[in-house]
Amino acid sequence: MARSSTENMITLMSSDGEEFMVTEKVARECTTIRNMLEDDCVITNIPLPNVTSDILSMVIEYCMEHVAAAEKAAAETAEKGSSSAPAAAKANKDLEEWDKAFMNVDVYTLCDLILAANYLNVSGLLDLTIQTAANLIKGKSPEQIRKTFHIQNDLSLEEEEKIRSQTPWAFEKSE
Amino acid sequence: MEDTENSNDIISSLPDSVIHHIMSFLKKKETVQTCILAKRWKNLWRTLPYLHLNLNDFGQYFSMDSSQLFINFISNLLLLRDPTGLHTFQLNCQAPIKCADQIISGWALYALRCKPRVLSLHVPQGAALQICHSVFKCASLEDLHFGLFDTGYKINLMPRIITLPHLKRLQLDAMLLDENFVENMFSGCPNLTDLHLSRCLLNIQSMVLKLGFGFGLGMLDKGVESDDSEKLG
Repeated sequence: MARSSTENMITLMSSDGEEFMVTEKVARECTTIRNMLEDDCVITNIPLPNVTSDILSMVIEYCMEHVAAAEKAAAETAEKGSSSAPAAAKANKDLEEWDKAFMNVDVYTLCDLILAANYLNVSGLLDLTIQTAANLIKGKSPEQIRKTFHIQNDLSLEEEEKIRSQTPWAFEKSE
Repeated sequence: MEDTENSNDIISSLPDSVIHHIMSFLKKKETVQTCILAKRWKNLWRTLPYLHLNLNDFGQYFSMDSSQLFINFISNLLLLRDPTGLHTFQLNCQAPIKCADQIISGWALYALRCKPRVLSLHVPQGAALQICHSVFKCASLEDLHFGLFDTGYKINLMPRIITLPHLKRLQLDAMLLDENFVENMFSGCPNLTDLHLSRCLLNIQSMVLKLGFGFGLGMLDKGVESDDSEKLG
């Protein structure tokens, strides 16, 4: 556990061969990578064949922002002895705002981010992206959902009617 | 605007587990309604391992219509879903549903057979009495939240045995607990690290609790003696 203060750097390599140098702390935000580092602590080069460079750079951006926020909060606590509640609340709100702005992406990027967060096991990013996807479905008609996510309806009219008639209880109006 | 290439339909190409995760944030009705989006979606709701069933999602409190819709919906959902394992089962009936104890306990017993890890039940007293024996011996549970929606303190929660070897977190709401229960709880839940009692009435004459290491309950860190005949927890 005792590590020197000079930070170890790790190189992450995307599926299209681009290399990203990050601090070990940032890399450890990904549980998948953290487990690799714990199994083999001299590893410095990690190929990630399931993640493209544009998505990987976004995942890193997310991890860096969250590591920086956690470090800032820890530094403030150390300085003042205890964290002041209003300052912590503001920092949380700022991070939430940042997350919200970060989620301003098209559905393709969103789904790629979900897959990357799932593969790299970045729990905060996975929750954020999954919740964002769910919000895009909530309160929409099937036709609107198909349009939002470019879902190809490969059911014929008869098939759709058949499914509806098998599950009428799911299409009853409440309220 | 329609792209003819299927590969553009990226959400449908996500693995089932990821789509299930997204579905877990939707109301159950919305989840089942995804069955008509496309062939890929037809049966996805049937294997969803997270079931959050809330009466509130079905309209207004105390309306006969909404409770009828709720009963009808859930009975169908449980009947038609694949009898696969459940990770999470949550049932909130936080309003009276007339004559439904039998139905509600039937749903809970179905869930218990699917070996859930997380179980959260807020049910009327009658249903709670019927299922409590089964709940406290469901060995797969890691997280149990069990409560009554009405605080009458009329029933003692008295499961015959408590065997929850994997339980880490237990939360009880609005229950009347006696010393027998408390004793059995500590011996039957060897891995319990987190205990929350809210609005519970402890009916304890005198007892000494011996707690293992690492037990995270602030008010009971060494051993507690209580001589009060009744204590509001």
